[in-house]
Amino acid sequence: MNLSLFENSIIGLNILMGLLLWKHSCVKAHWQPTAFFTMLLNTIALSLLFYSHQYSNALIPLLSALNLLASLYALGFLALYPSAYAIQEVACLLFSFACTQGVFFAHNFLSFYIFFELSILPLGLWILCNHSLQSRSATRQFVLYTAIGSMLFLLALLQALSSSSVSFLQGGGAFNPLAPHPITSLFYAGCIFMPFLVKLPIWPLHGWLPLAHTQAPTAGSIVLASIILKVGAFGLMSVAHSVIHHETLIAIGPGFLIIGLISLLLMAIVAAGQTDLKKLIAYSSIVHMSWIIIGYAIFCLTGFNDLVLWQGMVNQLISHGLTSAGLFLCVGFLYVRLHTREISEYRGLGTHSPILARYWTFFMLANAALPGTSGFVGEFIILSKLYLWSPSIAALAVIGVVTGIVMNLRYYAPMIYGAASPALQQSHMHDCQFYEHCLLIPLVLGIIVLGVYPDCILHFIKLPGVLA
Amino acid sequence: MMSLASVLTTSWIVGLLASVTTLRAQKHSTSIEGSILILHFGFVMSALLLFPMQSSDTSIMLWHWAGPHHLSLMYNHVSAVLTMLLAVVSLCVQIYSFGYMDLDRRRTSFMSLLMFFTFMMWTVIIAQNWILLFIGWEGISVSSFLLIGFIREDLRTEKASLKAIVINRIGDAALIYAFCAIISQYMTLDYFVFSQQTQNMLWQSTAFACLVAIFAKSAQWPLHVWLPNSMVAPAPVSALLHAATLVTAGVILMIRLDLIIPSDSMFRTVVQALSSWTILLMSCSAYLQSDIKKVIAYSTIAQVGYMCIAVSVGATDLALYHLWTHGFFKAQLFLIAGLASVRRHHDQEMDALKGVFSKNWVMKLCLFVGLFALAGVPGFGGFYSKERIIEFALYHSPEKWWLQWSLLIGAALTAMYSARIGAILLTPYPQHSDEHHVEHSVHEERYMQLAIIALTFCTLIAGPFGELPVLGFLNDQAPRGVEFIKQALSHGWVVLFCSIFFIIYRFFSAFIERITCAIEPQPRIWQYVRADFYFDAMLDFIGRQYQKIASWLAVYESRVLEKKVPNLINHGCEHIGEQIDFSIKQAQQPDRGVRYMAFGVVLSAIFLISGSWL
Repeated sequence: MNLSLFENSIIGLNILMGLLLWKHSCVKAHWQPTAFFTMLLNTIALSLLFYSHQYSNALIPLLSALNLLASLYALGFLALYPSAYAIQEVACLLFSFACTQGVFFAHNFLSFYIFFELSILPLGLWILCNHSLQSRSATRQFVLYTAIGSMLFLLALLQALSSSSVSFLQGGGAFNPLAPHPITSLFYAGCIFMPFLVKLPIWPLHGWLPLAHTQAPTAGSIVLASIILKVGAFGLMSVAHSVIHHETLIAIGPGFLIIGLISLLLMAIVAAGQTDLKKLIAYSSIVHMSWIIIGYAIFCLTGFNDLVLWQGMVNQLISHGLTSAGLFLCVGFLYVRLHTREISEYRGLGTHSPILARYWTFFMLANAALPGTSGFVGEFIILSKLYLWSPSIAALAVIGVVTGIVMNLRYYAPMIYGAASPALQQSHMHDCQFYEHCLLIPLVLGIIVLGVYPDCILHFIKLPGVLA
Repeated sequence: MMSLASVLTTSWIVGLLASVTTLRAQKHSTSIEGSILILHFGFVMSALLLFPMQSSDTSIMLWHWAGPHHLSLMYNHVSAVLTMLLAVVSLCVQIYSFGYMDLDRRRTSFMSLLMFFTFMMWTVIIAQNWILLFIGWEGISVSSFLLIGFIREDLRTEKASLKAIVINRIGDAALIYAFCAIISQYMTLDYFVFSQQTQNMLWQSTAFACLVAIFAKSAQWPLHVWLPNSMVAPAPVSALLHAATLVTAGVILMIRLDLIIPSDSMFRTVVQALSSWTILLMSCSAYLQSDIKKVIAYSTIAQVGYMCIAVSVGATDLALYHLWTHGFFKAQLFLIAGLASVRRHHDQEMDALKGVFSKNWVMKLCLFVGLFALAGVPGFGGFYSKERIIEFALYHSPEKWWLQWSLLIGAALTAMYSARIGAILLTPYPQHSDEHHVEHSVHEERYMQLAIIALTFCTLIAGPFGELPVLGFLNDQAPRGVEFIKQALSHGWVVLFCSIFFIIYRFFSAFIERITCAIEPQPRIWQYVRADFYFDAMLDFIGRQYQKIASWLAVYESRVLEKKVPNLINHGCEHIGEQIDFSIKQAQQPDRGVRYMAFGVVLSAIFLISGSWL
């Protein structure tokens, strides 16, 4: 069975269908059958692919599956609450699915780079679907941040390919700081990391994310949080890791640790000061991703062979995918009812619609990484490994547990307690509907299962270097 | 052994499934409530079945979690005693809340949350791997958070529940840190493995991290603030969570850690010092409160302080015994307080509760059983456990005079505030013709009274008859404790006399004082003590400052990200664009155009030639 045939067909199909929908977007076309048929084909093709090919490492199948899941959720939300630009949104969804699958399936640097760059396009278009002045500036920032990062990446990648024989995902060796020019190799290594740190995103480079989240429609936010951020993490953990020499990684490690810690604590405090619901959750995404950076720094500093730490990082990725999808879905359900993102407008939701409030409770607790939910696994493993490396820095990082709950209570408490706000009372909005339950309950189950039995996926995770 | 394992696992998994009802229950649903009650009854049955089977430690592997951790359950004498306590109190509280929440449209939701709590608490009790313990540990703090904030319209509940979860989360952060340290020291979080390594004692820093967690959960000074605040919760919640089980989770953790903490370490002295201070301050505070539930809450903090001291002086069995008796009588007192306030339109002020049981001699009797047990009157619960703790401390660490005195004064103060409660509640209400105060029907009070009577019965037998099951089978495990008790009992009359004297004196004086005159003006220092030296207000202040800093940072950040950075980029782009525009315009001039063109041709030729040449 030819592997690349399958992979190419999945990507090609989505792009084709996306183009088809985009072309017909001016006509009142029935997009639902097309979109769902495409997703069905995707599911079948992906499962055939995973069935026919024994991946030695589960990272790529896991991220592909998460991608499929997030796309299905975005599609489900669009089918429930189609906006005026639903067809364009679905086209963007299919494009972005194809591009991110291309990133995960890439066999060489060229295809990785092309798909990585292409994945900017659908998301930029998606944010523009909002048709407001802010959405244009949000798109501009998103494109500028990512494009500058990618240019630096391209520069360093060409340098690496010309100077040594680096093959894709097979362990690097480029940019050795012991080589004649240590500063140069550190600079190039930084360039390699740049696009991934922007996509992740991490503290000084996070500027585009809150804007993009506030301007993107709900479906776009789900895909952005669940998948686009994971593309950054995937690049960091697999691609950059395989290009750069280990000595350089050890030299960069402490820097990553410091950035990760600042990002973890500062972003949690900044999040607690937000009044916009989506912005707050966007900041909490940054906090979650800081754990990845901290874990990666420790992974580099402790000799690149800590399987448990690696598994914890992968679990953190998957768990964030599920939790943020749930949170953005909940935001979307509120937004279609009241058309505002101000937290204060939702005061007294707990008394007004208790079932939605119950889902909010669950996802809030999952976002705060309570033990028993999936978020705890990654955090705990990363913290315990950090402790082994340095107990005093672990004591700093553990503060993140407290700032994390404060940040989450900042949106939870006004929504749950108190009498219903005038906006809620006038809206006559209904509580959770059947289809909303159908979307939310699998996420709840997934988060709990990953929390109490994480071994069901971690079992398949291997160290990088043996990627298939 | 096999049957024990199967019973334990089965009932744990049944509990897991039962707690799923929290997701489902929304409106009044008698079927769900009935099944919850039946499940609780089954829990009591399995606790009874399991109770005699604690001769040896049993452990059951569940499944692999992640890394080196396997989730596993265990069962030993500590778990047996605690399971029994939890099962009985939980069932009584469920029955009680069936009546107490009768008019609330979310009663089923309330009861399933209580069920969820019970299951999580049981997980804490029988967890062997400490990952599982932590899942339960956090589960109980979450259910406490949700139950304190159960009445959502009230703004006080919002504040109280937020404070509870944030302070508990501070303890959790410390506990996570301690877990990391335990992993790095013992390479495992399996309790049976690391607790047996008595030659490899716990690090001092780990012990102190655990201490923060224990004090946050068990509401010891200075992390006690959340407990008095949480008295806005319904009475069943206070009875089950904030008296009998949740607040003792910290003590359970300390009992577990006892084996690997050196007996002469600074850790133990610090625990003794802080808990002594807690006992004194909280007992005084309890005496000065006017809200009946707050009196009992402060008293709970002080009693948990006794347990902490008992563990830290090495009498873990006595701590367990006090936990056992205290669980019964304190839950019973909370239930009675709840019944009293229900009769007065949910007014918890003691002055409003005067003469509430004037026509109800059964409840009056129950109240006195509870108060006598709390005060430690001979023959009632608290006497058996508390006085022994005091004796143990007197004989075991004679050099710590401050510890002995704070324990003794604490016991006297306990007698004083219990006498005060009794005295005020016995005072006839000024206008006793007010029959409309009894708003609830007899029908629902029946459940409440049934639960109270059942718990009173348990309180009566828990003290004298609990001695054998709780302490008896410890003979082979911790002989030092029992031996010591036998010695100490022959000299115990000093403490006994002290306690009895204070009870008699205080009870009668308070009784007379309450009847004859109104509340006297209080000195300023009393006000400070009553408000815990404004600790609560200080925390509020810190919270507000945090919020201010966060808002300022958020505004600053959005100004930078949404204004400054785009402006910078735009101006930069414009600048470059102008430059390009300018050079193009220059190039469009006829004579310069030729020059530029020639330059371009030469440049591209050089590129082409060099490219092909290389």
